[in-house]
Amino acid sequence: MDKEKLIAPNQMGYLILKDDGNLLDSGGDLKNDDRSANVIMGLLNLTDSIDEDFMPNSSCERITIDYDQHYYSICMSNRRIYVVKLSKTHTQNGATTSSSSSTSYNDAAEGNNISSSTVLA
Amino acid sequence: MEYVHSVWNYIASVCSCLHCAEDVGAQNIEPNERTHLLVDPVNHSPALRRSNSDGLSNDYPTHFPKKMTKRHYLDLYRIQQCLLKDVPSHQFYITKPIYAKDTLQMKLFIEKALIGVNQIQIDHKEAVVVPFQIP
Amino acid sequence: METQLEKVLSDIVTQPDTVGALLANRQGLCLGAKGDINPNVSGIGMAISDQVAGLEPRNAVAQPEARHPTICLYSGNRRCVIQRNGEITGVIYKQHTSVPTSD
Repeated sequence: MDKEKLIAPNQMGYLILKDDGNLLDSGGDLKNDDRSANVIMGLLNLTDSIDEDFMPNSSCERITIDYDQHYYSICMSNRRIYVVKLSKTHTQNGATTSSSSSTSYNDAAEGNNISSSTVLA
Repeated sequence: MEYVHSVWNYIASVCSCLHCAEDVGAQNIEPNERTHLLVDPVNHSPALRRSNSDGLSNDYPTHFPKKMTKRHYLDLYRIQQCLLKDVPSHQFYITKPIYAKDTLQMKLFIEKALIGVNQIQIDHKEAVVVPFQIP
Repeated sequence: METQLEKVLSDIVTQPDTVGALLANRQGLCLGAKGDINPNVSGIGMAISDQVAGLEPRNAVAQPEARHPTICLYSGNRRCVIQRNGEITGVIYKQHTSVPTSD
């Protein structure tokens, strides 16, 4: 049994991939998770830029995929792709506000006719 | 003298146009060394069709000769494009969460947009299907 | 007819650091765009949200309200935020003009 790598203090799992998509190392929730690795590689290879005028080709330093309780952080260093699943409940700053605001999500969508001027009031 | 020159130029350009037209005609009839480029499947690169999003990742193999497997294709394709840039230190970027105000802004945007989309209605003022007038 | 949608889009681009925004339908066609954003981005925006939807499909069944992840791509002082909610996908372009707030 190899020891799990600690990339971030609040990590729940991680994947380390070669830039060709081969799995080099994995741990936690993402241990040997080829399916997630394929989804991530599919995302990275979908295009080299969403819009060349806004972001130059292959210029993303990182990609965040944000869920209510956790998020994925993806970046590439030394031709290794790091995919880390991180918990929001452990984070020091910022994250708690976004998860608390999500509880009223469905009510707002279906019920009230929100006036457009109150965005981010 | 200048007049003669311009007339000569004019005649020359007309001749070259005729020559071009003949050339195009000839290309249509018999294939030459350039013809195959037009049907080269590699030219149908998905990068050129990126706005055609439906099933982007599923139809890759159809644009390559049969002997290329999807894996081969992806290996080739990967060299061409990747969203990410190589950064010096992954730790620096990995731990940063999304900006809370971005998620909130997007949430409100989508919620209001859904209301807006549901309000779009099409008024059918004329018959959509017009019957054939069979005598 | 589509004034509500236009109002939502006009509203979003007046917010701080927001450069442009668009909405795409399930086919990746642009339903509306405002600000400095190419309407053709709707296709790739939809494709990205579609691809990411495959990351945690089980989560979608267990917690229907938690099924729409927000995707954010960062490049220098610019970022692109993408989210899908059922039939529509939203794309927002943002650019820092001031000092970043988190970190």
